[in-house]
Amino acid sequence: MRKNTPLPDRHDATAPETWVDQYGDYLYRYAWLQVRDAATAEDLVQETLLAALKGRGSFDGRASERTWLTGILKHKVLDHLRRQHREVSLEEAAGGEEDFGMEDFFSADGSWASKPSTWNDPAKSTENTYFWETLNRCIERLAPKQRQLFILRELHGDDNETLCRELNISTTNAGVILYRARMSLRQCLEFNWFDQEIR
Amino acid sequence: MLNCRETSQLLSRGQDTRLSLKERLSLGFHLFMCGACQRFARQLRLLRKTAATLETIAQADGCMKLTDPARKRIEQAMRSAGFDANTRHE
Repeated sequence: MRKNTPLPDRHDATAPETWVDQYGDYLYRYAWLQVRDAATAEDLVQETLLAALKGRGSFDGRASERTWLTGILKHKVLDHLRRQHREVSLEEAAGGEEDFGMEDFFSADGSWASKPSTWNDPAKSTENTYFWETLNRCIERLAPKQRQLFILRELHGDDNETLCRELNISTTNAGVILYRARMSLRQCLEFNWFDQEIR
Repeated sequence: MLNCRETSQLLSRGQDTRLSLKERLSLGFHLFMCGACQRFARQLRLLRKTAATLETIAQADGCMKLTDPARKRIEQAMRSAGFDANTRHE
């Protein structure tokens, strides 16, 4: 199948004047998904296009221009997350939201406080637009550090080692944060989507 | 014997790293007997699957885009940086 699709060997560079029109929205959505803030996402798009303008010589046409720009944006997003991550860590050291809510999931003997229910595959649900909205709202409700790691892991598909290198944390630490993120998301979805569906 | 809390932790870790044989065996044993953890395991898989599609969904969302002021600001910044800066490269 794949053999029949002709792939261009080279991708052409386009005039930077057209970048905002061509790629602006795409890059903005990519950034927004990860930082969840319009102003920050806009800034990141601007930084990306400025960096791209400066480093145009590094575009070799092997990947498309959009892929090249997305690669630059990814680095900008990571820089931003790393900065935010340090700020969040300081806040947590001062105030400590670290263990927030984790006791609620299990009883003292280690059994489920509230047993997980059967979920239908939301991809098959007719109302899946609402499902995506619910999932997005649940992601937004996560503690900042949990949200960042979850997004890098599940949306970026970064493996654990990359993630730890990128954010400068230990694998154990990353595992704990991801676990908490998944537990919170699971509960949020169960309460706000799957239980509603049954009613 | 694992309890449900430990099982949930192992299942989550199993999404990021490869578990040892011993861990996989104790996991399998607990899951065989515990319906709640079986459902949890399925939930984790669905969570991963749906999270992976969020990017596609967002890219298809026509409402989410750069505002006109942001667009103008970025274009202005690029002009100040010099669109023609690249002509020196080649």
